[in-house]
Amino acid sequence: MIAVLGLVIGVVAGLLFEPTVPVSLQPYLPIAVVAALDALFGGLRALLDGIFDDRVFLVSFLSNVVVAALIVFLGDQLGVGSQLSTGVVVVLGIRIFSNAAAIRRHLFKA
Amino acid sequence: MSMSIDPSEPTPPGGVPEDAALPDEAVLPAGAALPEEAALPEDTVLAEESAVPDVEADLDSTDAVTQDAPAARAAPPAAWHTLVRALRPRVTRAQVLTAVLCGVLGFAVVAQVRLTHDTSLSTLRQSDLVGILDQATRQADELQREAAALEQTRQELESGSNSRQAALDAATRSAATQGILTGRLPAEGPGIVVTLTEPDGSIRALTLLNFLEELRNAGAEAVQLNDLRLTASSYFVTSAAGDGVVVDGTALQAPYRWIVIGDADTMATALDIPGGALASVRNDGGRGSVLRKELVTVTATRSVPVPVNATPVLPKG
Repeated sequence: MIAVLGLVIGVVAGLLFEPTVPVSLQPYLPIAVVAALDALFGGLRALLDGIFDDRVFLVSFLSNVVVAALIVFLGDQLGVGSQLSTGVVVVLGIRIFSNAAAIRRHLFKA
Repeated sequence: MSMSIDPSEPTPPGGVPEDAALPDEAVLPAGAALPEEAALPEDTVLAEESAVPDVEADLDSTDAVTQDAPAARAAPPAAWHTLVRALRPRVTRAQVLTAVLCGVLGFAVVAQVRLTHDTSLSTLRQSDLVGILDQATRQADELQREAAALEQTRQELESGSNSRQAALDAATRSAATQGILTGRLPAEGPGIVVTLTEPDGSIRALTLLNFLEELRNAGAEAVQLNDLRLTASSYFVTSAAGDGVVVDGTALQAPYRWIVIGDADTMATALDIPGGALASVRNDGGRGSVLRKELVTVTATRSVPVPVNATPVLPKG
């Protein structure tokens, strides 16, 4: 419940403060968001698996975000930024789907 | 059943027990607290047989299965129970941490969505910008070509319509001229009004015909006699009763009122010459008065029969 509350507060804060993303971060934010979503789903799955650990969740969340942004940054430097972004999004998307499948199996046994 | 991490596995990032410290702390469901070492072999088999029989079975990693199996075996309520329990507001470290991370995520999502909504070129990469510029240039070139072609078409149409308009104008003028000459159209202009009176029907048809011929000679362009339009095919016949004339099949009686468009002075002079038209009228016992006017209106018209036998000869050229 607190987590949901936190999400709502974050969204509201985003709507209220109308943050402007620094130009240097703009290419990485979408990837970071997708990575964070992946971490969130992973955490939910771990919770249902009964192995949820806040420390692991925190570390995985942050490392996911950082690594994803890093990969895109590296891709930008190498001149394959857009392709690598696509690749990262695809991989993270697959992980999100598999986690969602695991969660679904837990909740609906199907 | 090692606790090591296989990097190739799509295990949940939050769920990978990255070290052995996991089972003791953290928030574990009741099922997970079972003595795992003892239960392991059967659980694993069970889990693989029943709980996750489909292709995605490999998603449940080898190390996750150790904890997963009891929970999975505990039927739906357990999972829901876990979820509900997690949703119950409690101020634990895990809950607060998750809330903070969720808040960050929500914030970032909103920021990104806003960014995407007012997509500006400043967010794009250089290569993308070059591509867009290239595309825009090409598109502009294409549009310019199209504009030039359309402009040319417009000019063609305009000149075409100009010549057509000229032809139409000429045809209209010609139609007007011929309409006046044939008596098809009413006309107005400077002219004279002549009134011939007689006491006893003594003006002869021949006199009136001469009168008309005299007017024509003097340049009359449109002639109306009483309510009749006189044209090239008009004729005058003395009526059988002897008290008037028949003009174009219509019996007329004095007074005869002529409305003539043409040069007023010329016509008036022509009518007045000694031994002329008015003199003939006077010889017949009638009287005539000529009125010169700046503007007279010939309102009477006649329909022109369509030629049955004659067809126009097309101009050669």
